[in-house]
Amino acid sequence: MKESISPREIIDVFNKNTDFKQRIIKNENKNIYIFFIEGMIDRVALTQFVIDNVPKELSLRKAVENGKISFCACAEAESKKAVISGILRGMAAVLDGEDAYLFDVRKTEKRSVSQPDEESSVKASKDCFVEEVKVNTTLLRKKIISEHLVLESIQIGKQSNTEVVLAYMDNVANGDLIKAVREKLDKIDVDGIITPGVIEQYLSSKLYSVFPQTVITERPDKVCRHLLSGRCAVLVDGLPIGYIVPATVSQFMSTPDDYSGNFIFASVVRVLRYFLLFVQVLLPGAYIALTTFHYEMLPSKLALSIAQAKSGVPFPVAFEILAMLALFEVLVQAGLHMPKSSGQAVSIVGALVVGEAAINADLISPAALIIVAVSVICSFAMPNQEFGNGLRLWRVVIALAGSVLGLFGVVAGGIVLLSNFARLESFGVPYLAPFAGVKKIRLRDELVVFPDKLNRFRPSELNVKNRRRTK
Amino acid sequence: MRKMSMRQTLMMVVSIIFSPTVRLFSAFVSGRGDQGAWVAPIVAGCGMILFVLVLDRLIRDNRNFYQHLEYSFGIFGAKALAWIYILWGILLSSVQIRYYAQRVASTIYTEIDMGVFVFIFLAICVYVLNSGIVTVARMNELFLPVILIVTVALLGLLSAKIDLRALFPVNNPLSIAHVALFNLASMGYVTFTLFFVDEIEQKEKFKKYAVWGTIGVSLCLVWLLLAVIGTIGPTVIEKLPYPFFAVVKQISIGEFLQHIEAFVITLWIVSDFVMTCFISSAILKLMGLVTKKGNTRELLIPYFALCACLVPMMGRTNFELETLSEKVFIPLNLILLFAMPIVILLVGRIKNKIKKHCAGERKMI
Amino acid sequence: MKKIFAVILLLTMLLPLCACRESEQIDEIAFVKVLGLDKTKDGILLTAGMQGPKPKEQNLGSSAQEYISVTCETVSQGLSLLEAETEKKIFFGQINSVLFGEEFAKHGILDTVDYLVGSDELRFDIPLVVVKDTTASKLIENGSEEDMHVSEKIEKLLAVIYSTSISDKVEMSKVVNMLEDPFRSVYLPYVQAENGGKDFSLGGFCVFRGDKMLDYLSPEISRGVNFLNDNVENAVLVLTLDDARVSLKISKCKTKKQIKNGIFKVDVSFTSEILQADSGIDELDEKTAQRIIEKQNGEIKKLLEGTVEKLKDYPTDCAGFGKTFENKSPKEAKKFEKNWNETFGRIKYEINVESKIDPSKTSGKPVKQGGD
Repeated sequence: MKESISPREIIDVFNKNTDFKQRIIKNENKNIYIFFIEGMIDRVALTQFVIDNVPKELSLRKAVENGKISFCACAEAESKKAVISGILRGMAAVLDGEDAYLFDVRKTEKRSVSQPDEESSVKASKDCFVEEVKVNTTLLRKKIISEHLVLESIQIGKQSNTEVVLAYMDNVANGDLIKAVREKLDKIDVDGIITPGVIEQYLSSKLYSVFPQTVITERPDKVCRHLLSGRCAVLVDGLPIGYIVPATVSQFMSTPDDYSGNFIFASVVRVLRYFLLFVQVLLPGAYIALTTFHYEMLPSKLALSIAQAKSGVPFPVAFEILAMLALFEVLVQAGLHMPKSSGQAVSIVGALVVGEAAINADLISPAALIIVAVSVICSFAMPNQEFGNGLRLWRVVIALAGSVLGLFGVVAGGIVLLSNFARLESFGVPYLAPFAGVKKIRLRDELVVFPDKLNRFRPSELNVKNRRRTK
Repeated sequence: MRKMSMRQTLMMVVSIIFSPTVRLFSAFVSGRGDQGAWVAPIVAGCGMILFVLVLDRLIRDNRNFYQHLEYSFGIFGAKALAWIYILWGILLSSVQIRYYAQRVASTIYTEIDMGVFVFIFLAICVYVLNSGIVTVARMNELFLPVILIVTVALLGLLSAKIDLRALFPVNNPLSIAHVALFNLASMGYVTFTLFFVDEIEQKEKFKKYAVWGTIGVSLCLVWLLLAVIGTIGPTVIEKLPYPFFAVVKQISIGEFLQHIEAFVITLWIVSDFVMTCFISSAILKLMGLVTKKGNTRELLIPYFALCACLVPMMGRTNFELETLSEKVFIPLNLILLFAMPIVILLVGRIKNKIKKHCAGERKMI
Repeated sequence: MKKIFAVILLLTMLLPLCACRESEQIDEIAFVKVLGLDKTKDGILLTAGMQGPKPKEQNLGSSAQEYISVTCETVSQGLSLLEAETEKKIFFGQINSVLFGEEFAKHGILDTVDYLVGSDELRFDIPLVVVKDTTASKLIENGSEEDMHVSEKIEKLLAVIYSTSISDKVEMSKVVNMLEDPFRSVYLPYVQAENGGKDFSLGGFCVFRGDKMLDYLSPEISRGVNFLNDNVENAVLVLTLDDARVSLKISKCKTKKQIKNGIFKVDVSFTSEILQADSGIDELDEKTAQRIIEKQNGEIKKLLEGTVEKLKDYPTDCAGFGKTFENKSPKEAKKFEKNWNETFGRIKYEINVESKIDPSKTSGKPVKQGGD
């Protein structure tokens, strides 16, 4: 119900803010107040389309209804809260004590749409999300020109009132999924959404899991592809990312480039990625197990070669591997946080210290260094870094288990890791889908890339309304 | 409640058939069936397919095992039988855990006490079963293809070493039939599907999946026996506690791949894990139904603690363990997993007929 | 959260129960590659030829080779004593071959084979080899070269033996089967050593009665044994035809044994190709080819008859006649279980050889000398 809003009340709310500006235009009927936050509005637009057109004889309502004050983005504010929210978002509020209107003359400083930093692609589109949610929704609209693309806006955050947009295809996505996502978003009870972790935590079903349960992406084309498959996406104002749910393991292993070129080559690369997943997690633990407990499995020449390389090193193999893994993590963190100017120096120090000097000083054996290096390189081949981070942690756990119990420990660690995957669900969809936990196991377009021409059906585990993509 | 599909359930059954047959079977059968023992799985498979038809009828009735017992034997009869199954299930779990620990401790970790492996194994079972049998079913969907691929690869590599002269002549049909019973006793774990009927979807697909699964398992077992007996001969096998393990030791591709028995043993651990979880879940579910306790999760730790205590009592040596299996568990398996469902079906059908007959008479009156 | 911490604490406290006792650093392990057993007055001389990592400053070759010998009463005692002789842990799982000295083989190998088969670490496909003209210990001491261990040399010899078929690799599992089978006698390959074991080559087979060695067979007779056991892949035969020599390579050999009316019938068929013929032999001529075929059939028949007679002299059935009898009439054969070898010494047999020459492999018209 519309309430009458006193300009005095608005002034009282904002009067301590130096960037809050007001303009009073005397009118025959009443004074017309124009409130805005300096720096967030387009001054020219506000002057040209609003202030210059405020009539001196008509009431505010008549002026807007008759088109005297003509501006395309104009909405009536029905409550004080709406006025305050509009001013805070950069709109200009025009009040006369009875009516209140918000004019969207925002001119916020925003980054232009640029290339993605972390998910770069050779052939696929090179636009990425920015901090402005309106720009992001525009990017989606440009790729899916359909009335079925629904973008619902919700405000989340007690203090920040951040605009969060829920995107889905209403003729494809399962109604229960949309409802569940909306409920989760409504349940978010935080001060503000400033960091990406907040939304992710609330959208995840299991908080205490190192593996991500939402796909976070900076690419609009990736979001659109998943929307067309029947998933939902969440965009947040102020964050240059989109969240896609439900999330499954296969999504973390695919990249947009898989669909940009020849599907056979892309299939080989994707199968290789899955192989690298196993290598990066199991290789250090298996190496420790084989060289400490099960040396009979090594061919005799290889065993002698490894023994030769290790002779003189005072530390056991397990310590070497774990220390190297820790050192590589330190290098990775240093690489993330150091200034660009010192990058070269750190690379040289890392290579010299870790590589050359440590081996010459017989502190580590070359074989151990190679094993850890291979494992680390495999981990960087993972398309999704959050997923890769979880696997890196488990790599250490499995290496520890291997050092304590040999291959039995590696297998036990593997079982526990797999059980973590098997128990995870994202909005009712098993995390291991479509490889396990679904009615029909599907390898096409998950383990191997299928050409779009033959990819006629949407994923069955999403229980979409319309399974057929094409005629 | 999360549900499993019929395919997931039967995949678990295949996994749990794999473990005891690979480790135990070849020793039993070669000792008794001699070089013709490889024919036994074919005979067992034929019997199994007939039994699948019986189970299919029971599953289609949409009642779980305890409900079938109640329907056929009344409340008290059902409770008594259920407690027999529970006790047998606890002992069966203990003996399987003991087999697993014995195998690991006597093959690749000869200096370590088996208690370490028992404890860690059961801790993992408790951790995983906390989220339900559905988790194990999903894990098994990834385990089973790996186990099958590795087994087929190993058998393929062994096939080059098969000496056909060690496999013929096949001239002892009675002993082959005797050996086929052993095989049936392990295939009978498919009866546990009945315990989970209310947690399974796509029940109508049971017959199709079970028949194909039986054919696949039988063929695999035939190939396994051909490879094991044909490679080292029946006389050597009789002496060995773990023939397949010993045979796998022989596999060597050039100087690149050899002595992979440690890897194979660890794969068996996976199969044992699925078996322990499956049987334990079935027994715990039965316990929940008998005691009318909804959530049996709090019984997990006491159940496995009891199994851990029973493990050392199953026998001191491998020979005692095998004798216990042969004299006690195999006959019990045959009775409880085969005979009982058939009896339940017959009693149920008779009761149905009597009810229909009485209802018909009342109508006439 | 408290539960998780409690679990982690419990697991950490249980770490001392872990399998660390089983672990061993790989550079502290000595891999035994070959085991030698000789009979001495005091018991058994057990020699282990080992490979381990060389100190880094010595860059020649990839491994340090050493051998250790211990005197013991039983093999198991000897293997335990070996551990005390070296500061490293000894690993037996990579043994490539087991060598028996002549005296040891004559004394009996049953107990040793029985122990080795039951061992956790050893594989069943380890070949057993007898050493002639020197002891196993000396062969292991002297037989290695700078870049090749004696076990690798023996392995290589056994790997290429198919080209001449004068011997064969006989694995431990096969020996066990032969020992336990009343209708089969054991035969093992032997190496002939020279220069105190520095040089050696594969000789042929040595035959056993029960588990005791009887005698060495010449390479030709050993090839005959391979023929009779249907174990010939390739062989080279040199014939003389009208004072000219013809070298033939025999392949695709098939041997079938049957019993008809109490007589063992051995049918051997093979294909040969002419490798080399002296000038004067026209390989393309049909009549010449026919003569070569007849000649080679005769030679092989003579060889096989000689082999059977030699085996009957001992008597020891290494040629599989007993197995043929058992497969044909198991009940009848049971009567001869206890003394099959004696019965074998009296069997009647017929050998029939058929062969053909593969024409696609003939080299063409021979080169003839034109002038002086």
